[in-house]
Amino acid sequence: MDADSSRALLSRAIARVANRDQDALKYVYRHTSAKLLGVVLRILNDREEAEDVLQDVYLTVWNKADRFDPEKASPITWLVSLARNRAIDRLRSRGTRVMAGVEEAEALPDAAPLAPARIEADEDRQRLDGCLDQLDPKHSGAVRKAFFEGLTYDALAQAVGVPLGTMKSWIRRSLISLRACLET
Amino acid sequence: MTDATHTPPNPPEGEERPLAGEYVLGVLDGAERVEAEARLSADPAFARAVAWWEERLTPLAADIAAAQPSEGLWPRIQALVAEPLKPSAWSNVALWRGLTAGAMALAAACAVIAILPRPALPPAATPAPARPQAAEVALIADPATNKPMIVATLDHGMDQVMLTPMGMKMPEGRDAELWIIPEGQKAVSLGVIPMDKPMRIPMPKDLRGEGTYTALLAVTDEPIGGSPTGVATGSVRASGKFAKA
Repeated sequence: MDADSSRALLSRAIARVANRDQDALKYVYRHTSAKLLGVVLRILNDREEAEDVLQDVYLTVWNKADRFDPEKASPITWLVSLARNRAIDRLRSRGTRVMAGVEEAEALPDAAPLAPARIEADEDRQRLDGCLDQLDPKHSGAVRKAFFEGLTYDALAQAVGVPLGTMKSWIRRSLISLRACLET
Repeated sequence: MTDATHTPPNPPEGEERPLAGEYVLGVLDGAERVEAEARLSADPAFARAVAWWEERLTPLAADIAAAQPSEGLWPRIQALVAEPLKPSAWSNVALWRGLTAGAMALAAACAVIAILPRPALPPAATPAPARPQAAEVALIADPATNKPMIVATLDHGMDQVMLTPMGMKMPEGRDAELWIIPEGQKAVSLGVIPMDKPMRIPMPKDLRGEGTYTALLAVTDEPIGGSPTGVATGSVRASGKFAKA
């Protein structure tokens, strides 16, 4: 199945979820849960916590499916954003708890993304990659790391080993450059 | 691109600050995130900027390896989205009979009871019954997964039920209420029960003896403090019947 029809099916399923269709929710779950768990696990590095967040994500889908507008966003963007936001909120609520089990996420095989959950048409991805490639490799590396791990400026600066001000500057300049590049 | 070695110590602020992008990327700390989220619902231009960034950055997620959720996750979600039963359905005996069918299958699992802790009798202030009767056990299980959620042990000597929760969870802001449904009768509340520690509850007077053998136990989620009406309003989270030990 190509990305367009998979996107259309997912959009339709979410619209049916808004009408309290449990089978539609099951469809959405079956086609996106492995991808979303990967996203959440990468941020939280704790499977039990990640599954709790994932449960919360699908309950939110169930309760707020009517807020999804297929004209404005792609279904996978909506779902991934929802999952990332919940995972980041959970990460922030941990406070300064020491992170354990980083190895778990990093040990995950870099499997090809599951076809039904494929993230958008390849052209969007190629465009983003093209714009990221125009950045200093250190800066684009920080952008990717921030996206994957949901780290604050502070944690990101520590992880990369640069001062906080430098990291803020890297990320903000990168975002301004990316915006200009992606807008064209 | 600016040479990193000449990066100014003070990053761009104010108008220049790409706050929507920072929010989507996830670099804001807790307090800044809360502020950004407040702005999200109050400022449509900011909300559009956030949506713009989400659409453009999400393709990065393609690089993240998928991870298969545990098998129990979907049944859990499914149970949480199940339509709550209407109060009228609760006096419907046929409904309870249907739930009982699942409970019967569980009775077979009751062979494990020997390893369950038996409630200790209090010191003999009164003479102990000459022939203390064996306790009976009910596995109160999730109807979707058949996994035992609570073990209820009936203590005839004291006319009490000892409840041992086994990792049961309620949705946020809901209490677990236990009901006993004697065969052919309406559900009687045994009250709100804790999910994190064992509890003893006295059996209702008119339910002692033979009637308990065939009664169904069920747990529903209810508003904090229990059903306000005396009949269950939430969904059945678990159910099961006693079996003779």
